Amino acid sequence: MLLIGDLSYVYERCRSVAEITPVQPVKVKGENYLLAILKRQYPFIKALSERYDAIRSIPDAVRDWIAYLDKRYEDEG
Amino acid sequence: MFGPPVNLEYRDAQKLTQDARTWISSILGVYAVSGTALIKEESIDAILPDDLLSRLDEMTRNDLKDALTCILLLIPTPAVMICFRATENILRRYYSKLTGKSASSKSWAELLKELEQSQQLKPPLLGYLRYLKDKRNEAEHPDKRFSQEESERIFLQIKGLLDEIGPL
Repeated sequence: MLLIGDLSYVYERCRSVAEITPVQPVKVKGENYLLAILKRQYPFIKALSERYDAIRSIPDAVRDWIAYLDKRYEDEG
Repeated sequence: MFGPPVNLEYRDAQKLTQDARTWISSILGVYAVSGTALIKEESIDAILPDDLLSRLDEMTRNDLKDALTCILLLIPTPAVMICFRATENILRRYYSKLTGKSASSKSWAELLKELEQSQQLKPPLLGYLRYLKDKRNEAEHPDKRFSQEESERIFLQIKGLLDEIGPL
């Protein structure tokens, strides 16, 4: 399932900054980096959440991360 | 030199790690529960066994597989709609087999009426066909949406119909 694959990628990349030594730099913006992946999966997560109460809060959290990362980080260019 | 960062910062990475872990766990959790009412994933092979599928034409076979996929994905109304397409095809083939006539120009109601009048149908078979026709009439109402349980019940009625009909 692509969704789980993408979220696992996000998780592992974040973990490589937060929990793994030596820290590996992880770009936020750019094709197939964190922000692009969250943006790509957001519509599917939103659609899925309309079916399952247990994940109803996830789209808002993803949307907030998208807005925050977009504002906070710069594209290397 | 001190502009916005390009790489993920430690504090954000910590928070996003936690969130992503929670998201993955929650999403896997909803998929772990089947959500079906009557049909269980472990009984699929028994519902559509190979010997039953092999008796059907390719379109009906594919329609029933698609309907079952919709049921397992918990999208009942499309499941029911495709169930009716499969049923109509089964009915046409059965009518042709029984009467030797072409069913192509006749409606579902006309086919059923003729079969009823022929008095060749066993009561259980007639019961399945009448039930499915009633449900199809309900489906024609533009506001009608089917519940998960209804979709599974209709699917199981088609399975009963096929078991009753035998080879087509």
